[in-house]
Amino acid sequence: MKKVLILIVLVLAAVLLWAGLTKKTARPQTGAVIVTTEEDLNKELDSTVDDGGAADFGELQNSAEGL
Amino acid sequence: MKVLAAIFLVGLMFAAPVMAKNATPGAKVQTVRDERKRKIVERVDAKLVEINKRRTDAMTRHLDKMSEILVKVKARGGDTVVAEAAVADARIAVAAQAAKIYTMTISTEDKLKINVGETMKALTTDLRNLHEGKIVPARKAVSDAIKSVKPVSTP
Repeated sequence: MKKVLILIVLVLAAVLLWAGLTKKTARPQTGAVIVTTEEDLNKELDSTVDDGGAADFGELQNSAEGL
Repeated sequence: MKVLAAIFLVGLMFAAPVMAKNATPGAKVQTVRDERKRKIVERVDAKLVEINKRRTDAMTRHLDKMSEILVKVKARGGDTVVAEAAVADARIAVAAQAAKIYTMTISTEDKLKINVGETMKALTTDLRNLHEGKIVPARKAVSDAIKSVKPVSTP
């Protein structure tokens, strides 16, 4: 019985410790929502970046090898 | 007479696809006697078409993405006029590039490498110019449009 009580207390302590740490390390919510949106849009725009086809031009060059 | 006309028509039916095939950019390949070189020229010819399609398809995909972004920017009160014009301009240029056919003009067999090289250079130059001249500026315009979204200050 005593062992069970000790175990419950330990588990409770661990849960409280975990909850406290999570709250402490959580990022503060400020009014920077628009910044995230802009970042998202910029990230989306980054997906349209390419080198202009360097690999394709290399492939074309290779296809003429042997002439 | 009717029999002759029928034979002519049937002959035309069989000849038409062959004639159409010979009218493709690779038609000049027949002037190359060396079998090995002819195959290479045919391969390059196919590659020219494939790479032009691949590149213009990629550019179209990117322009579609830019348009999607502009819709979001507009919804958030951003200025998209310049970017929309740049994307539309790029779309026209990409469509024109996609429709281009690169014909290899083979003068003599000893100039084969030069002739093929010239055609390859024409394609790569066109694609590079299109990328640098239209796609990159369109992306820059979209980036500027994103910056125009006014930050909403929350109390």
